[in-house]
Amino acid sequence: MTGRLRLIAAAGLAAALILAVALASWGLGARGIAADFGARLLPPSPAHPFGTDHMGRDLLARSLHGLALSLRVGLAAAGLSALIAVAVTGLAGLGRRADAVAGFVTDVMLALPHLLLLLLLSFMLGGGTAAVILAIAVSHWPRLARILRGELRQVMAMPYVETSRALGRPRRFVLVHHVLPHLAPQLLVGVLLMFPHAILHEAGLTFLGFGLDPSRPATGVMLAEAMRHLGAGRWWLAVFPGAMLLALVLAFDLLGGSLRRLLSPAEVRL
Amino acid sequence: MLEARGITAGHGRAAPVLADLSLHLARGEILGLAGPSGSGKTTLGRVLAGLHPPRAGRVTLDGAPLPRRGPCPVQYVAQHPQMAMNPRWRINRVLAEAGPPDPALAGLLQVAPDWLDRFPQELSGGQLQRVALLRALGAAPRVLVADELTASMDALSQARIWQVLRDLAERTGLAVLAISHDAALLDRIASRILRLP
Repeated sequence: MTGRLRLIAAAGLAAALILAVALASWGLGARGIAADFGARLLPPSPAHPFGTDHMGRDLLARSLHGLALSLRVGLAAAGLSALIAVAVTGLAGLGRRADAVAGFVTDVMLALPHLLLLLLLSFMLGGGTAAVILAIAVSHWPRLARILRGELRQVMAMPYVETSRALGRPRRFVLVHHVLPHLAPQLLVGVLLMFPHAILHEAGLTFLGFGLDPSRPATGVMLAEAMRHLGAGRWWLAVFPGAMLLALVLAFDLLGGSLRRLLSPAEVRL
Repeated sequence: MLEARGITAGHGRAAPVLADLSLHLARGEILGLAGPSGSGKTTLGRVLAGLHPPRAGRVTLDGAPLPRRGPCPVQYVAQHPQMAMNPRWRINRVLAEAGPPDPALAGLLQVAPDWLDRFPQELSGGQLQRVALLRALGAAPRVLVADELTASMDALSQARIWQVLRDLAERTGLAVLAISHDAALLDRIASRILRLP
């Protein structure tokens, strides 16, 4: 199998796993959400492969619900973050002064410790799903914007952009027709790689109590609840949801990394 | 018509490649520009087309500076035209950037209809030069800066392209600055030749 085929296979596998998680939660309905106090804290068994939690809820179903929720939050946060990054890049493309402003704002945001910013924003916005999405989006666009701005400057220096301007095409035309299509692959890979980051932050924020509502089946909520029972030997409460989260993050990382290599001109010979 | 006065230009902080250079290009004139490699021929062509800001001096067309908006009346056809075409665009879109191409002119320049569906990287250097020329003429320029325009063409195609440009110069008053290493070619096509040291 050639390197290129291997990359396509890896990307396909990761995409299939992500899709399976999204669909599994949809098919489960209310399973894993309703309490069953007759089946509290059961270890893994054929009936409950991941065991049950302190309210007797099936952990496998609950983990899948949690991952699906993470996917939704990750999608919204990464999408919103990408929108901000594209808007800032678009601003940078409007002229030298606008580029300086965009660069300054990006650098200031990059200079702030993003974990601290994330916690502060989530706290200030009062927690909950919308607050987590906004906090991740606002604290994560600068890295993508910096990559896109670098690409923008490279494309803007291409002779075909200069020719387009000489032929009378306005700056906006150049931006929309020459520059943005060139940035699309970078944007796609950037969003995909931001996705696992957003999911991890959502779980982290929720674990610390600044994130999603504790009544929702989120991975962060499950891990926080597990902390109280780990000392009593209930390892499955943390291991399985944690491993599932890790698998999802790795799948995204694999998908993003494979796409980046597939789209990279340096890897064309693969 | 096109006037450049006291042009000093260079790249970055390096010593200027052009120092206090002046030239005049009249309506319908074909002026040859010769000189060894690195003498600043391309830089001068780009300065005249408003693509490279000079460190000193000014370029005027009929006494006024080149307009900042709309199609530039001085069009520059680059030495390596592939770089001046978006690699993601097909030739018909590349040509349309200057407005709908004139089919009669396309015929004269031998731009074949079956090139239109191809990408720039699928055409040869000579074919790309013709496409770049057709596009530049599509912007209805008053001055054309042709940088090694026919360097990638055989003698017959070269003669045909220059004949088309001479006819245009006579008919429409188009002025042409022909940049070339080929002294024999410049002798044949230009009414006078400016040599850079």
